[in-house]
Parts: sequence; C-alpha cells; structure tokens
Amino acid sequence: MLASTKRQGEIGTALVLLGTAFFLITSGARMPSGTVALPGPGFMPLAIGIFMAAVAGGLLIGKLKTPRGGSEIVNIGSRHFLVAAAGLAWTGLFFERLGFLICMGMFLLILSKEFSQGGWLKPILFSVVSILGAYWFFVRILGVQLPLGPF
Amino acid sequence: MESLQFLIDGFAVACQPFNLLYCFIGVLWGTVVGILPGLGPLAGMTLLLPLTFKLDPAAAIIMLAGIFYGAMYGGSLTSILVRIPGEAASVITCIDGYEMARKGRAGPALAIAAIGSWVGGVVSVVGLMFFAPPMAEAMLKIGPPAEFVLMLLALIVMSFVSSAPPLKTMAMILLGLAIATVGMDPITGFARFTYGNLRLADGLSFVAIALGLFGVSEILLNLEDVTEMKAIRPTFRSLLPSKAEWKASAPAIGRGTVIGFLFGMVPGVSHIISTFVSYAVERRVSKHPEQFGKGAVEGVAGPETANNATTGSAMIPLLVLGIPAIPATAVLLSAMLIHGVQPGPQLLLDHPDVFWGLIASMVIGNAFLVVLNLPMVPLFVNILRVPYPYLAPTILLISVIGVYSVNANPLDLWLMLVGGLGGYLLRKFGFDVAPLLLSIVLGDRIEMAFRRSLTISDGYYGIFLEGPAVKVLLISAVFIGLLIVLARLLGYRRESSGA
Repeated sequence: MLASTKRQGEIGTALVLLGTAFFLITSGARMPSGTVALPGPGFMPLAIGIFMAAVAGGLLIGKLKTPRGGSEIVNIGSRHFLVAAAGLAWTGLFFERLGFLICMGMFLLILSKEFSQGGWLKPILFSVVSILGAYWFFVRILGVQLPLGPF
Repeated sequence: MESLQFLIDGFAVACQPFNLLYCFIGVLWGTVVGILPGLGPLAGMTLLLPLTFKLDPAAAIIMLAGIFYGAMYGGSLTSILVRIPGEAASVITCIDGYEMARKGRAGPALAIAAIGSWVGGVVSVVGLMFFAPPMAEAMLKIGPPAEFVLMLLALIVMSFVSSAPPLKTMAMILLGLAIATVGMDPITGFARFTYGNLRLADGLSFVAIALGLFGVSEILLNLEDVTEMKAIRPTFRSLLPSKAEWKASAPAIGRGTVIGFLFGMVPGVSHIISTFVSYAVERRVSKHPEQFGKGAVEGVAGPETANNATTGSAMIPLLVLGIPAIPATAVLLSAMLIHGVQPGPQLLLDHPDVFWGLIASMVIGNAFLVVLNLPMVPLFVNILRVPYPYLAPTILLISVIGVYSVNANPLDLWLMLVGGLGGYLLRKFGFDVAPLLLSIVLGDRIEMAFRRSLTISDGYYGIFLEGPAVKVLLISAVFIGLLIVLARLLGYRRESSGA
C-alpha cells in the first residue's frame, strides 16, 4: 500500500493535468485550425488545452503555497485493490482470446478466493454457478453477443 | 387540455403489460442497487443497459428511469438501518434515520421516508408534465448561440455546486471536454486522437468511462474496508408512524418537495444538495432544533422527500434541453441515443410515446416503490447479508459484460479499468468526478453549437450575448446562482464535507 499526503496527490494531479494540457495544445496546433468564421478541428483541443493549463497552473500554485505539514494522509491501494485491478486487466487481455466462460470464470475464482481469504471450495462453487448463471441469463435469455472461445 | 390527452396516451403506453413489467424490474433493481453500498443509480443503470438492447425504446427508457428513482428509495434503507448510505443522496438520512432506528423507531422512519419519497416523486412528475411542454416549445425557437450559452452556463453552474472546490471542478470539466474531442470531428469529419484506430472514430465509450468512474472506482474504494454490516431489523407491524410523527413530517414533506423540485434542475449534484438544503431548512424552522441529530423525524422526512423530488425535475433539462443535470441522467441520455431517441425539444414531437409514457410510468413506478418498500423491508435487509467477497466480483462480472456488449470492443474493457483507477485516485485526492462525466456528454454538442454560431455570425463573437433567448438564459443563471447562494448560506458545502 502506498501512502501520500493529500497535498502531494493534488500536486501530482495538477502536474498530470498540465501535461495533458501541453499535449492538447501541441496536438491541436498540428490539426487544421480553420478560420475565425469557421474554426477547424484543431480549435477545440487547442482552446481546452489553454484553459486546462491555466486551471492546472492555478491548482499547482495554490497547492505549492500551502504548508507541507498537517496535510491529510491518503492511503492508496491494498492487496485487494491490486488483485481487482489485475483481474480487470486480465479481462482486457483475454476476454476475446479465451472466451467469456474461461476468462470470467477464472476472474471470479481468483477474486472471490482472494477477497474471502478462505479455502477453495466456496470460491470454486461460486465461480462455476455464477459464470453458468451469467451465461444462461445474458447469452441464452437476453441474446447478448459474447465471445465463447473454444466452446 | 392537450397535455391531459397526451398523459392519457402516456398511461396507455405505460400500462402495456410489458412496459409495466419493465417498470417493475427497473424499480426493483433500483431499490437493490440503492441498498447496496458501492452501487448507485448510475452503476445500476449502466449494468442493465445491455438488457435493454432488444427492447423497444419506450420500455427501455421506462426501465432505466425506474432504476434511477428506485435507487433513491433504496438508499434510505441502509441509511436508516445500518447508518451506511446506499448512495450519496442518502448521506444526510443517516443522521436522524439511524438515531430513530436505535430508539426502536426504524419502522416509522422507513415508512415516513417511503411516503415522503412517493409524495416528492409524484409531485415532481406533475411538475415535469406541466413545465416540460412549454419549455420544449420555447427551446425549438432558439438557435446554436443560445444553445452554446445554455450548455456553457450548465458547466459553470456545475463548478460552483460541486462538493469539490471550483478550480478542481473546472479541471474535471475541462478533462471531460478533452475526452469528448476523441473521434471524428462532428463538422469536418477529421479524425482527432484516433491514431488510425477505426474503433475510436466514434469516440471513447461513454458507458465504459461511466462504469469505470463510478462503478469500478467505488468497488476499489470499498475493497479497502470490507466490514460486515449489522442491520437493525424492523418488523412489518412496527412500520406505522405515531400521530405526532405524522404531524411533524407532513410540513417537512411539503417543503422537501419544493426544495427537491427546484434543485433538481440545477446541473451538477442537485439530488445531493437538495437533501442537505432540506435538512438545514428543517432544522432552522423547527421549534426543537436540539432534537436534530438525536432522531428527529423531520430530518428524515425532508431530505428523503427532496431527493426523490429531484428525480422528476432532473428529467426536465434532460428531456427538454437534452442536457443531463446529474450523472445518472447522463446514462439515461446515452441509453436514449443508443435506442435512436434524441432527447431535446424535438422529443415531444418525434417520440411522444417515449416522453409521455415515461411520465406516466414514473407515477406508476413511484406507487410500485411504496408497495415494495413498506412490506418488503425485512426481505431487502437480507440483501445486506450477501458477503462482499462474493458481491464485488459479481458486480465486476456484470460490469465487464455490460461494457463489452455495447460495442463488442475489448478496448472498452481497458477504458473501464483506466476510468476505475482514475476515478479512484481523483476521489482520493478530493476531486468530484460527476462534472467530468457530464462534460464528456456535453462536449460534442458544445463544440457543434459554438462552431455553428460562428459560421452564422461570420466570426462575430458578440452573437453569444445577443437575442432574447440568451437574455432569458442569463436571467435563469442568476436565479440558479441565488439558489446556490441559498445552499451555501444553509451550509451545504460545510455539512457535505463533514458527512
């Protein structure tokens, strides 16, 4: 688990926003700008970038002016958090390759095992019943098109 | 008279057996997601979005709207019985609702909350019925400049009503507008930020971002503190309020209805603000303000009525202007577009069945909710017993299915993850993600209105300050500004940050 002060987080966010603003400004400048009467596709990214730079700059200066001490400590992430995020990344990688049943079955099994911190029996039962239930409901009843992999 | 005839036609649509069924499913699911901490109306609607693909537009919108107002009812249950708000608009109910429950008055607190919600919901629907048609007629006459000013004002108002400081909210609005620029330029067709990927031509998936920002991030936050919930269990017989409780609640319900209806039209987080304002008003007008915080029934009646009264009036900007006032109505807007229904002034002309069917279904749905909420309270309490280690993966499973089924694009699953992580961090650092979502929805339209206006005026920027429509909008902005000042005077930001 990471710990930072709220002030550090806000400064970090302001810097990310400044980076985004810079990206929008440079990208917008490379797109067709059009005329005053008919602004081109580059106008909006450029304008948003300029405003965002001003707002992010304001946020950054405001936060840098506040004293370092006394800022609230913010804990970021946990083991459960990491497992859930990794599980979602797994679905992005393998949902189409392995198919819905295998990919999401594994996803349910690992997450429920990790979160319940008990034995394997309940998570296995839970994942099998849930994935078959989801398949029956979404694919068979509702006709939602999902990749089924080898099945 | 014409409206009455349309309403009768609307009831004919809403009373079709399938529409009644979907309305019931919607309010039932809404109640469940309202009860479950970590799931609000937005996530609840997005999760069931795939279910609506095969329905006709009226049934789909009726069901999704049912989830929206159903969640407002459900949220009060956990606030009163567990002191954990099921969704943000129920935060204030925790204070006196839970105290009443501790004193053995859980039943009356729930009954007053349900009845107040019903009154607020139905009266606001009546207001929607009367205000929407003339407003739509007026909106048909305005051009792109007024449309641009209207949306810009909505964003400015949002930055001042958000629970986060204005500068942080403005940053979120600009980030949302930036995200909205991804895809084909709406006027020239120029591809922006697509990097040759055709799947990005239509822009980033709103559903994926919405579920990431609100659904996934909420689950990631909840996973940090998984505690077993111990609910106070009321019995059916204990639901009847005493005579004194009725007497104290009735005026609070009346005031809550007016406050909720007025604030429902303010873009941003109106459904949450209205509850804080209502609570503050009740405390100020009470002869026994010292009772607040110790189980005052008015502290339940007012806010619960107000949050449901916003559901009807929040539909006015959505249906009449095509502008979602709160994140949940942004999902409704997205669903309408998926079903080929364009919200806005043309809606009454192009899809009267959807518009009036929705209004009629909200009257019926609110009645369903009273029937559901009173006798079935002991049953709903059991939902809280589902262990989170199994609930969280199930919600994520449905989220994955929901997001993938919209475009069959695995990129959307990544987008949902990025949205979830981004939402998690932003919320940790005190940013409000609701304005981000709303500006994503409005981004395209703001750009179109802006560029069309300049084309009409041949590059003359003064066009944005001319014309009667713009003046009316500016007067409306002043009115909304006064509401915000009132909310501030009553301590909205102070109380919301402390709750």
